[in-house]
Amino acid sequence: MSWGKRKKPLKSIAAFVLALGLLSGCSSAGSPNQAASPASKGGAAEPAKPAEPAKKGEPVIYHLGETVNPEQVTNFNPFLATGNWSTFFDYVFDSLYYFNPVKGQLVPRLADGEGKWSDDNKTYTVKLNLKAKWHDGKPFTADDVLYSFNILKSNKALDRYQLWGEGRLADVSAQGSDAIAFKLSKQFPSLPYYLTTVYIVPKAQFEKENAAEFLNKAPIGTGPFKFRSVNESAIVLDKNADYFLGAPNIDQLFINRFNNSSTLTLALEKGDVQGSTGTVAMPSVPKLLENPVNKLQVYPGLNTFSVIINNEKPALSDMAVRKAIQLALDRKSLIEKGESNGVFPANPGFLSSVFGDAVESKLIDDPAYGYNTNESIKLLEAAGYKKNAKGIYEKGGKPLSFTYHMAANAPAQNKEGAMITSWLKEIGIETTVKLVTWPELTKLLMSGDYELLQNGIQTPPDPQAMLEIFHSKMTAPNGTTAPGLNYMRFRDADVDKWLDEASSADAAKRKELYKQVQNRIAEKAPLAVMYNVGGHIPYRTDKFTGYNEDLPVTSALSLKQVKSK
Amino acid sequence: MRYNSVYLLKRLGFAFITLYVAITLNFLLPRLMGGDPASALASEKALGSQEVVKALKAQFGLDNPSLLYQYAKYLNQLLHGNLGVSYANYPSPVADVMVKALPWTFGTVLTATLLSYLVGWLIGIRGAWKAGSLFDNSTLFTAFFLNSVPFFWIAIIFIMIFSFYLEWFPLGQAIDPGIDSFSALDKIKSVLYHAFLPVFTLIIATLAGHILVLRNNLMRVLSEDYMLLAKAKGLSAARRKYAYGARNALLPSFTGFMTSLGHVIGGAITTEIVFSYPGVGLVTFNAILNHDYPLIQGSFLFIAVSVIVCNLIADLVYPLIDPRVALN
Amino acid sequence: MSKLLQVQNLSIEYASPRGVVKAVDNVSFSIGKGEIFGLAGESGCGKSTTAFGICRLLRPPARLAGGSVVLDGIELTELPDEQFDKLRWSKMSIVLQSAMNNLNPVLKIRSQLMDAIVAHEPDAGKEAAKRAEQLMRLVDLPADRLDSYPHELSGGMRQRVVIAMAMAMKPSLVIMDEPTTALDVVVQNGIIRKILELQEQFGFSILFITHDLPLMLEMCDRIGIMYAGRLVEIASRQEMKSGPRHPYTQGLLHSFPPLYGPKRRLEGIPGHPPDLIRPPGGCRFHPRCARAMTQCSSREPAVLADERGQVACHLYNEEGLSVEQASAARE
Repeated sequence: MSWGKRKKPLKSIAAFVLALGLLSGCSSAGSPNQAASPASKGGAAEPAKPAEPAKKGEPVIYHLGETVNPEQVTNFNPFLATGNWSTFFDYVFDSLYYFNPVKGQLVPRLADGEGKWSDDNKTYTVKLNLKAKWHDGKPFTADDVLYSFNILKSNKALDRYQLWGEGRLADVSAQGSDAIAFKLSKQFPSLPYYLTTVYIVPKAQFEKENAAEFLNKAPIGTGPFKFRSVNESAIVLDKNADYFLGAPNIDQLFINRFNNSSTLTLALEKGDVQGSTGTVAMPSVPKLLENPVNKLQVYPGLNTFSVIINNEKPALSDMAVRKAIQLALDRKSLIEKGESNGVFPANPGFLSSVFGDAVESKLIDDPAYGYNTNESIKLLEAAGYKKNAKGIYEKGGKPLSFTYHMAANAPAQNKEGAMITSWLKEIGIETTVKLVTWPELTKLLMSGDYELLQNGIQTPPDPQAMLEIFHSKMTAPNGTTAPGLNYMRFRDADVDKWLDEASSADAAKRKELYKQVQNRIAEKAPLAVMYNVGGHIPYRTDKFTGYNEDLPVTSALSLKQVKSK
Repeated sequence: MRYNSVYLLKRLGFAFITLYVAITLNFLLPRLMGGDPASALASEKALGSQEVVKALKAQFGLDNPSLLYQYAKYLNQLLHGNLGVSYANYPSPVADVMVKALPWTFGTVLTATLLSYLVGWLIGIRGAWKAGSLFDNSTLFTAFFLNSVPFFWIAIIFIMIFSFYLEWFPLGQAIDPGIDSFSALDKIKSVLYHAFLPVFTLIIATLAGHILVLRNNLMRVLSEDYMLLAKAKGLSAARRKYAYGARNALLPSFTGFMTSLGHVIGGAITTEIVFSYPGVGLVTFNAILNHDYPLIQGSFLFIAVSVIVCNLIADLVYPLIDPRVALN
Repeated sequence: MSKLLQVQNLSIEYASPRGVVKAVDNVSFSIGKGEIFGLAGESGCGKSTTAFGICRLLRPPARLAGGSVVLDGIELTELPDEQFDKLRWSKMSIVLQSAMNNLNPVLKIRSQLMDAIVAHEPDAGKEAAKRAEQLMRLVDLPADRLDSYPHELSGGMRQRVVIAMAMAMKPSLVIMDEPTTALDVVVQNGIIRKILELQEQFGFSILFITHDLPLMLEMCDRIGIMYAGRLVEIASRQEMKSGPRHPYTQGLLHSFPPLYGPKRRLEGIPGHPPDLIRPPGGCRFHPRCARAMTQCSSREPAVLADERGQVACHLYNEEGLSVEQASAARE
């Protein structure tokens, strides 16, 4: 091998690389799309410059940002539990009703107003808004609704909320051309809540496919935005000018995809995106809010993080111990320091504030269930526990020492776990922390192979379902997989009775029964709630206005009202 | 040919056996993690409904608990080129998921690896050749510094300086969000523009090791007698530097270089997270967190095959470049 | 005999952590055209350093501290690097010790023979290839070995290649630094014969460096003895054999057992070579010299040059007589 004259190879390579970078950079800056979305210059600390008015003829684009991983855009089929990003469907599809967590109300979308119960309360009839049209121009009909519900009947794996479960839907049929009758086998007053979980798809498109495997790469919905394309950096949606509830003011909606919430937060700070739908790094939020154009909307939701207690384990079956744990948690501190105030206070009676007047809200700030370590100690000692040489309470030679499971790789969780375990140490309860993956946590909860476990419990948008996680039918002894969400192995005959009654009672009676259940739960502390997670939505007000703050501000119904300043 | 068919067959045979072992370990490892993906999914999205768990298990092929049965099915599928269906991306096949991410990984990580070695080697050669000069001292100092600093720190600093404050480069991602309406040329420019900072950061972060190793190797080579003789012969500095010096100094680095190439396909997880780049690293990382066995298997398989192939190539090429290596 | 190489007051030193090492101190000698000149001495006496100093192969921190080197009328010490490089190999070449790494392990022999030629005659082309073959024949090596790599040749064959390489541009001076030290005696014999044969054929001068004094006495025309960086004696082969003058040379010769003759006790030279950072004052050999006198420790001996050669020792005054002889003559 002979090497010829190598004249300064280093310098030529460096020059080449730099030239490439500059060349692609310079020309990229002049590309058409960059000009259309006015990017704000300057750092976060500077006040926002007044926006340039949108030039005539240029499309008005609203840039949303979110962490959407590649596995979340492999399909656009609303029936599938995996491979998609569920918030997408809110923009492109409609359900009969939309559950608004900000107000705890059901908002009709494809339904025309509230539905009507039959006299025996076993049939719920919903009128349809036939003004709706599919994005390909075809008219929306009752057949599409029938199809969308019946597909869940024939594919159990798709019926995630078990609409067709025992004692629920028996039949769905059309009433004329503009109404749907939902027939139930037993009284099921929660039905309207469950109608919010089913997106209506075009029968003509879906019936040719196997709904359980159809990827739906070119989704057609009735929603305010039409699917245009997807690439590694964004999902691109066009406005649906014929949207039956009023066309959007913006021309395009870009859902910019990020891998991690830090870059998303940077993009928000810089003004590259105008809002997010949820996963912002909460510790960065205070800095974001220093800039007056940035706002944060916080609302409650369906996921409550708690220290989940296995009521069947020795010592934890003792109510005194559980209450001691409940009173050892400084929930305010968890919300402030652990989550930077991006979450909602939790209800010791568990029912989320999302459900409005069904909630026994006095429990939230009731000092009897609030932070009180002295009371914890009193309870333990009254129950016969004595501090041993290590400062841990024990009875009959058995110290209060438990394994404490929480998620690995989750800084906020770990920070809160550290706070909680140190509070428990203060009241003489020892913990051994074990970090595992999220799916592991689920497995442990389901099998009962844990003592204390820090995780969130997510329930459907139905107050009955939320409280039923304390019903004995939702559980199984340790060693057997729990058939429902009662991971705590909690059993209370009164709670069972009240919930059974509420499942077919009228609205007023239900509220009364739910309050009784909540009080019992707060008293018996089958778990120790930390906080309720709903939405913490950052959004910018410098380029766009018209956000509807009675709804989640970056949801479809709000964004269609937004207009450029 | 320097080597005969016996040598070739031995190397190929060894490669195949390694591949088989890798495939089997690949199958076993995710299952050692514990946690049942079907139950986890059902609990997360379907309230733990046992019906859904059963249905999902059937979908995932986990309904027959016998490990042997699953293994046989796995091998059979592999032989047909079927990498299975991902759990977390269900019903997308694993191959589709990998294929989407691969070009981005190759584009950045491969380029960065090649350039990093090339530039690192050239700097190391020049540094050793002019040992003690200003160039040598300053590059050594920088190399030691870079070697001790974690990669993601450099990446974050670069993003803050170049993307956030100077706004010379985008904050991350692989392409412009509006790329679908670009012309072909603009599409290419967008890709390069977005790839620049990740590639640049990767190069800077990995450069140091290559500089240091080659500098040391070359300094050792320079003290050999044949270098003295080459100078005495009056050979040009270029010939002495490259044909006599670098050619010998590079030999120990060759296998390391091939191994690095083998690992390119694994992506660079920290780069992909910091720069929001859709590569194989992130796919694998998320697959592990989701207990997505088929995707984990698929990803590890790609890496195993790639490393084994690169090793095989290294085995076959090394005797060609170092005549001293015996072939039996 | 006209002088090919004239070395005058050559000094080489290098900085070390403990101080400046005066490795070569005021060395002067000359080599005639076609002459074989040997440079001998213990390890570390500075003979190799002198040779490298002459052909500008010193490795930093060693540096030329003074003196002149004239080769074929050209003052080498003042030449800029580019011009010096042109002289390399064409005017003087070098043969190094036959260690394993004399040759580049990754290039074929052919390539290494040819690149010397091509470096000086870029347009040689096919000529260069032919000359490579000729060079192999010169040293009795088969031409097919051109396609071998160095590790495929034995030590003796490699050394022949190196010698052939040194002949490539037909230089006037060949410096050989311990060319046979690492070879066994039989092979050494063959190599030496070959060197002498080539020298007869082409008539180049040789600066032959070794510590093997008997070998030197066999093949060199004149021999220089170095001790601790200084040249203590130069004499012709016959003079050296019959009557070396410097006590160190005498001690050296006595250290080598003769092949024939009665068994005698082996004598060495007591003591060991000095530290070259702080060498002994005056004559550097005086601490080990059996005949040291008072002035040996304070005054450096002057170099006495006469028809017998050169010697630097206080035992010999300007007339070349030993002190004893002088006093005897006075009487």
